Amino acid sequence: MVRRDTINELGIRAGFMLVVYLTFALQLPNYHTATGIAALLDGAVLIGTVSVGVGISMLAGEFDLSVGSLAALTGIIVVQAVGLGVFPAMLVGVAFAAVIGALQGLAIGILGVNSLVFTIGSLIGLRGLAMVISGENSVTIPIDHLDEIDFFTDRYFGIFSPLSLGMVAVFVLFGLFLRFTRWGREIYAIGGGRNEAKAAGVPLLRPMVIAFTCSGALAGLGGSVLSLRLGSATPLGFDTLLLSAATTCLIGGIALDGGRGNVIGIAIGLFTLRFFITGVASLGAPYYVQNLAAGALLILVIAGQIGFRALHRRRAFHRA
Amino acid sequence: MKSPNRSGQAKARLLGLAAAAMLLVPLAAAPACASNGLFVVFMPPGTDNYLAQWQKGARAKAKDLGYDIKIIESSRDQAEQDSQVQQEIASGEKVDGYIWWPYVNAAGTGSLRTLSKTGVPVVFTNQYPIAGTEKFWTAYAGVNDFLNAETAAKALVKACGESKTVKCDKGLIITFPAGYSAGSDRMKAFKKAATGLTVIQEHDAGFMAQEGYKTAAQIIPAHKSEISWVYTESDSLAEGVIQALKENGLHPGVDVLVVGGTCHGDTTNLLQGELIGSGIQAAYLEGWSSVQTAYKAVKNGKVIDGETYLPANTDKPPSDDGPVHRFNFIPNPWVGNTQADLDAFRLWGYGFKELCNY
Repeated sequence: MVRRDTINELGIRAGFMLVVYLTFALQLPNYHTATGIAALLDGAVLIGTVSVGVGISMLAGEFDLSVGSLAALTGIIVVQAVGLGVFPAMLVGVAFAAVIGALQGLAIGILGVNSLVFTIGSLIGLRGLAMVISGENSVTIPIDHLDEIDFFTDRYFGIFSPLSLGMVAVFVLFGLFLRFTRWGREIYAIGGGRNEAKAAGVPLLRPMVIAFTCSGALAGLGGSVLSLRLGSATPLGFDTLLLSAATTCLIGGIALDGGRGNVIGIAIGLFTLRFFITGVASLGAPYYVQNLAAGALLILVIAGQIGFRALHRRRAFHRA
Repeated sequence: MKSPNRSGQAKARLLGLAAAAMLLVPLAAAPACASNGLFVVFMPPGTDNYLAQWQKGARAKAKDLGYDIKIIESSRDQAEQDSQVQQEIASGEKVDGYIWWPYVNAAGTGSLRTLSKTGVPVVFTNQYPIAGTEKFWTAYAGVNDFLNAETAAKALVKACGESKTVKCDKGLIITFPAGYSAGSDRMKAFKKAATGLTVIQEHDAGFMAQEGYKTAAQIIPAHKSEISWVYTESDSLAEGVIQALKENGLHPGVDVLVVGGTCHGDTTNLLQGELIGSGIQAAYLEGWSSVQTAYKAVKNGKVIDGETYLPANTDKPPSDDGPVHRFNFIPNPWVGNTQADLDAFRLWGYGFKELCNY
């Protein structure tokens, strides 16, 4: 059963997200129309998909720094393989990214290396591999074949595209996986306290491998679908993806030290950030203001989180 | 009266800063002013000095023409720029013209195609459009990267012929980042025009002096005994390369001839003879002419095939009347490396310091 304080915390975060949305919706024409909401959803697909993976690695008490490089590399592989067909190419890309993620998890688990240290290496190495495979250039779907990927912009129920529906599916599936499967609960267990988890008989290696496999596969999925929609991929692409995904997770309440948070929180963090960044950018604010605002938003949320938890502890102490 | 574009920008800054100060309060609406229309620009961030000057020129021209201008800056990430395009189109805002500056040209084709589907004129700027995308844009306005590099190559060949200390043969090319099409366009044009010179290594670096230094410091030690020239695509990159050359015991201008071909704000290397000269690629004028081209495209409703070079008048900018072509290039004149050369330079009523202050 979900604890009441978790529900309260999610409620406060969701309320804050709505405040952000309404603030911009009052200023921007059509921000609240079907086309505006559809564009907001489409704009959230990449960061949303990758954030779930990054969030899972954070829940395991680890951090996968390589997601941006892996997304770029997978994007290049998928665009180069698009001759196989859009979906087979995506399948190849995601499978490749999942294997890379699994190998990372295996190495970190067996060697006992800090994931930050290990994934700094893969962050650099995978980017280099992307440069080699692409010949240091962007790879593109031939212009005459761009019509074949137009289905990505089809609309369902007025606001959903195949990409945003896919993102919703990712949130639902991984939310259920974490909440209701043994493997999902093992990820929480090793993130919440590794020694305690070990003492309770939870294996350390399996959840580690699963967490990094999820992170890798979702980075690959995000990189694949965005590259296909753009009709191109570049070896230097997605270099800000990690920061955006990490910010999303932190705003959504995923604890850096692991074991705390959930996919609903990530979704709230995602839309809080997207409403904010998109709103500021749509008003024509310079890029530095967007960065400043995003940083301030993160600090505001974390400060609020600390305050909320302190208040909660104080009340609990008085009750006791 | 507060100008419309300034008030729009101020409003956006206010919103961002207010958010930064945690003040999520309702925002005051901008004062309504009469406007002839709106141009929307998609471009990489103005944190780079060149892009900041481009924005100043674009804003000045929009104000002059009575248009509002909204500049949407992306991170250096094509996916983010694509998202901004989707969002802007979804906003339903009435736009008279789009100005498109992708970070990665080839990767921006999908977004460019999306913009073209709106039916609103799309002016491509700064990077030469890639072949096959012609149906997605209305006109190009800005620098001719091929001409820029060709001018630099010819100046280098001439300087080699005149040098009493350097016998030009082998050299290096240090370029803008991988995937940045202006960089590869310049490299191709330079190699084609640099007759009699042998390229022993090409290496991508970035845009800034420190990136040029970092790259040059890695590759020069292996080649310092054989290089006689270096081409860097911009004077900013050249600044870092010159530093690396000196640290390796070489004297730019004496042992090695260095050419960037795109001026920048620090003229130290130029006036000390460490650069053989410079090309005036004025960011301000590129922004200015991009907006003028968008205006002409809207006003005339048609575009003439072929290319044109805006006149290199010394005292006044080109007229807002007249046709718009598919390719509308800004002038890219060469200037020597003495103080007298810089002082004598004038283009569209601006001096060297005003145009090369980025």
